[in-house]
Amino acid sequence: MRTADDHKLLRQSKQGDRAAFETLYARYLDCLLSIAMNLLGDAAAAEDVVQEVFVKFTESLPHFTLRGSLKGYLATCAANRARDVLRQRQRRQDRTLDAAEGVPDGGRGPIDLAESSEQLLLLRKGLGALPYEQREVITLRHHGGLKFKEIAALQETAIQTVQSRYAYGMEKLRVLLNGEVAQ
Amino acid sequence: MTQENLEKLIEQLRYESSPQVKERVRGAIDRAWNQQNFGQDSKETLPLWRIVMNSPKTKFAIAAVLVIAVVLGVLPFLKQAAPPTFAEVISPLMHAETVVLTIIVGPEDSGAEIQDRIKGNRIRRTVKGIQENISIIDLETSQVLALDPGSKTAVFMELENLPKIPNYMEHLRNIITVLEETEGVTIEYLEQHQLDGQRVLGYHVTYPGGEIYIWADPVTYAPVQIDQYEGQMTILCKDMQFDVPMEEALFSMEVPEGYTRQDVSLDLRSGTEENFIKGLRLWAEHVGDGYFPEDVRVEAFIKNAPMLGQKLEASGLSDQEQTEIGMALSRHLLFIRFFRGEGEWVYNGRDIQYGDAETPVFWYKPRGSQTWRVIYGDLRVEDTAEEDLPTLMTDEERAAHKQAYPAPEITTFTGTEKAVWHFGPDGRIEVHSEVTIVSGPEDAEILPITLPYAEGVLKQVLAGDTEPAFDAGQEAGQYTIALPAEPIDPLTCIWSLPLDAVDIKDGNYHVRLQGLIPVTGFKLQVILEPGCGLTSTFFTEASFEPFKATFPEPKTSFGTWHGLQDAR
Repeated sequence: MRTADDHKLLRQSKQGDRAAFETLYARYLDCLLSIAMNLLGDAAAAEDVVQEVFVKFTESLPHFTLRGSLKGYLATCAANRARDVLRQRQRRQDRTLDAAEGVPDGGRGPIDLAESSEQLLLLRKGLGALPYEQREVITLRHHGGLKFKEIAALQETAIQTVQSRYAYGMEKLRVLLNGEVAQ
Repeated sequence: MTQENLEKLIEQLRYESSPQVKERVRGAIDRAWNQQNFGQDSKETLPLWRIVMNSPKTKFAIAAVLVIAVVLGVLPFLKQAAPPTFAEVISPLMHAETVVLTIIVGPEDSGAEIQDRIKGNRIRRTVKGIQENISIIDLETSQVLALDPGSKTAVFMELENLPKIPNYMEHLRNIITVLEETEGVTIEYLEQHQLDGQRVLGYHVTYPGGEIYIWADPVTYAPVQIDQYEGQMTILCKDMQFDVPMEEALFSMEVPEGYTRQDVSLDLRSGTEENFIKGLRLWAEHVGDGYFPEDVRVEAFIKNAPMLGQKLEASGLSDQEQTEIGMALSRHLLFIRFFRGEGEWVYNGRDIQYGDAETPVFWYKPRGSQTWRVIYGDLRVEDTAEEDLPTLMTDEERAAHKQAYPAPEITTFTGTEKAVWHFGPDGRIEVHSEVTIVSGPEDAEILPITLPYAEGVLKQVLAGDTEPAFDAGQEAGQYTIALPAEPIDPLTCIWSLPLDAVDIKDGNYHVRLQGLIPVTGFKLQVILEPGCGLTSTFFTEASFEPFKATFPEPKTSFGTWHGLQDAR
């Protein structure tokens, strides 16, 4: 089920209704944070990404036309921005986010897991260790609600490639979790 | 671990923002939000609408606007009908003989709400929350009959050059089906949405210059709402019901017996530049206190209609003159309504005074033209190349401009008044003075009033459901009333007076005709209560209206009425 009455709230927001926009903001803030955190594994960077997405969205409101779902649109924006952040970091030869160590795994910071368990912490590490494209497919599929076709458009690749990335990524996570469980 | 369990686990990989994060992002959004130029909100209006609609004169001017705004809102799609693609969704539209629907022009929570009953080519239209306001529109004959049962007045309007619409239902059908034939149109299926708590499916149609959402019941496929956003115009059709039985008499175009009839006509091709300019001038002269309107969009006009009504009511102009202004403003509106997506236009007139030759207030590019037409504050027009176009003033520039060219300061309150004099059996008179304030000093917190008699005593003040406080002034009969923070419907001042205070000459009581504040309109009603011992020279009823006048300039005193005698 897609989120209720996004179109109506968006309409009202475009007419200058701040309360309607606040509803949209509250509705998607944590969703976008989850996407950004799962993609970047860095609370400060994730926060920046989400802020930029909402600011750009606000700036574009008067002329904004929604095609598809709002959640999907915002998720795509967050993913695009996360990629930019990643590229900038790589250019600076900063630490890579493909390393599991890049994912903070303890303490309650400004952003933290809604639920916490050993299994979830392990999954977070495992997701952080996946190649970025695989991590992106899994994140956008499960947290952005995007279809493979939409992710393929974002990744500028064939839908079969996206499906393969998803399958490989999921398999790695399953092995990781099963292995831990077996130990 | 199964695939399903893994998927569930991934979905639990959710993060929560702390209050600090929420605030930080919200702060950034606030800054971005404040930079945006959203449409002006219209949060007030319904109470004011009632004021306007109490005036039959202004009612018809506004009825004309509503006809234009709504009936013609979808005309650009009137081309050859095409085979339907949304066949199932639009099936009720295609086969229904009658439709009941609510149309909202402007923001959904504060726009003008219109209720239509449609049967074939006729529409019976009322505006929600407004008593005694009925328009019957016949699209086949291009006629509108506007009725005010309260005052028993009727305006019969001929719409000239209304494109042939043999049947309004056909017209609605065309809106949808013809879209497919229109160049640049995209249609997207929207499944499983919720609309006001109701599960719906829909289509999202975009076309050059606008977009339409058609929401339907997922089981019956009956349309429940159609939202049209066209340029700077918003029309929502909701609460749709099909094939509701309706009596033919509801759609009669006959003027009921006993009604006073006024005939007017509106040429729908009269939305010319000349008429647009005339509308700017009339607005500045009669409504905007010398300033051009804040906005020229249709919904802005509707939002400001109450102010228009009040200003016209207080103007002292005759009924015919007021109707003429209303019709001229309708033609002004036609220009914007039909110009729409044909080309670009920019309105810069907010806070600009009529006569300001330096400042451009509106510029647009006519269809097929290489140059733009720029209208300045003195209403001259110049052809201008694109590279020489002015730029829209920022809010800061506008504020600075207004400060540099301020409007003359208003120092006194003016308005209109209806005074109801109750002559009681105890030798006292109780007067209910309903004062409608039309203009006054900005940010004023008190309203000074002067009763017509020094012997008068102010007993109570009512403003809607509240009772504003008041204090006696230095002189007898003078008072100051604490003004409510919110705009008010008429302020009712209840004061009393001994009958002895009223002058008697030649056996007749001479009632002073005097406003509590300077007024441009005054009405006196007299009620002789049983046992009061008075009789009227001219009226046999116990309640009658012996005096009514409007004045070109506000005035306080305008003579006496002497039509009462002591019958004891």
